[in-house]
Amino acid sequence: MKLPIRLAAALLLASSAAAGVAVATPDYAAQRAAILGHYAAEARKADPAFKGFSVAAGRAFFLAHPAGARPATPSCSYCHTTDPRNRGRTRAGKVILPMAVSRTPSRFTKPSKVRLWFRRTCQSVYRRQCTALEKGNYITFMASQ
Amino acid sequence: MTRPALLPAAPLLAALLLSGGTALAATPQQTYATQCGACHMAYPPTLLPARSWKAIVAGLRHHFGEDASLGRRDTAAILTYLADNAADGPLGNSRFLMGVSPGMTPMRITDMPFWRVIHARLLRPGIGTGPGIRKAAACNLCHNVNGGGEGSGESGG
Ligand code: HEC
Ligand code: HEC
Ligand code: HEC
Repeated sequence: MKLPIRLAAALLLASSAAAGVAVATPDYAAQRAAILGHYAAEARKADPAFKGFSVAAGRAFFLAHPAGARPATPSCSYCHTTDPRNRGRTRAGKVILPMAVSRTPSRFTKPSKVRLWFRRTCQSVYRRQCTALEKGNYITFMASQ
Repeated sequence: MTRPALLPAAPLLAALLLSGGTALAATPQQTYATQCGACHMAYPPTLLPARSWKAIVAGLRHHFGEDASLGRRDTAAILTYLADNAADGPLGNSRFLMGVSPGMTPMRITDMPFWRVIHARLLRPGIGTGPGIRKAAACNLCHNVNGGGEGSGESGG
């Protein structure tokens, strides 16, 4: 049977969509600090005794296997690996760049992206939305790696 | 196993897309490539009928065991792009609908008869038909296509 397939064109369409205009190197540290500042303000609102984010708590949150997680996503470390300086892998087999800021400097610099992934992964792994404290701890841990 | 090249190696540009460029408004196609290419390659829309894309997009909260849901604006933009370029859409290629009756709503490209005919020799337990994760969906494991290899680093909302 002959299958006249024009897949290449279709694939190109999907992949070249991404080609954008090169922009000047953004100030990642400042962008990340702004996001952390936002979570710190929220954490202080929730608890006036809030003193600051914790690397250790962020690590524990990242490595935990919470009871009741969706079977496909038992832990943050399931896709991102237990050492965030490593590359991770999705269930569908795609490579994920390291979460560690030392390895992937652009991490946690785009508010909409950070919000989106916390919302979805917290729902899948923790079956609830994460608190500002948890999000700040997580980013602080990754920034220390 | 042969590794048919569907495409020359992808432009690295894809990985650099919009990095830091909040000023650039994304087109629906870019939104699709970014959001639907985060966990697997952004599948070519023409490989499924519009009703399949509609069902997939409607079920993103429970997407093959994961939460892949998006904000309302991105969801709408992606659905329009997919429907326009679907196999039965105005810009699609209806030949991929071989063997698909109007009552069928395949949720996977790897369930489409055209795909199963082409890959008949590969369909053995563990690939395509086996339980659990079906690596058949990682087209890039065997085909040289963009979107499945390095993390795009920019799957934001
Ligand atoms: C099913 C696999 C998977 C699991 C489980 C997972 N992630 Fe991720 N995560 C991804 C993918 C894929 C991306 C987007 C790809 C990228 O940014 O390289 C991502 C991106 C992120 C980002 C955005 C990073 C940035 O660049 O701004 C955050 C934040 C994040 N994940 C947090 C978490 C947290 C917290 C958990 C656990 C509650 C978790 N992830 C569990 C796959 C996963
Ligand atoms: C959070 C991760 C994630 C995101 C984001 C995501 N997907 Fe998926 N998708 C998956 C997983 C996991 C599978 C199952 C892969 C497998 O079986 O190997 C899958 C499978 C699919 C399949 C079936 C592949 C096949 O033929 O077997 C389609 C079609 C699909 N996704 C479309 C989409 C669309 C459209 C979007 C964007 C709206 C999207 N996906 C975003 C995780 C994701
Ligand atoms: C396990 C390896 C493997 C995976 C995974 C795989 N393919 Fe293929 N594919 C092949 C091989 C081998 C051929 C050539 C088959 C033949 O000639 O018998 C092929 C042929 C094709 C063809 C026809 C040849 C061409 O270049 O036009 C298309 C289209 C295609 N594959 C699309 C896909 C898509 C889309 C996916 C993901 C949903 C996929 N393949 C996943 C191995 C694979």
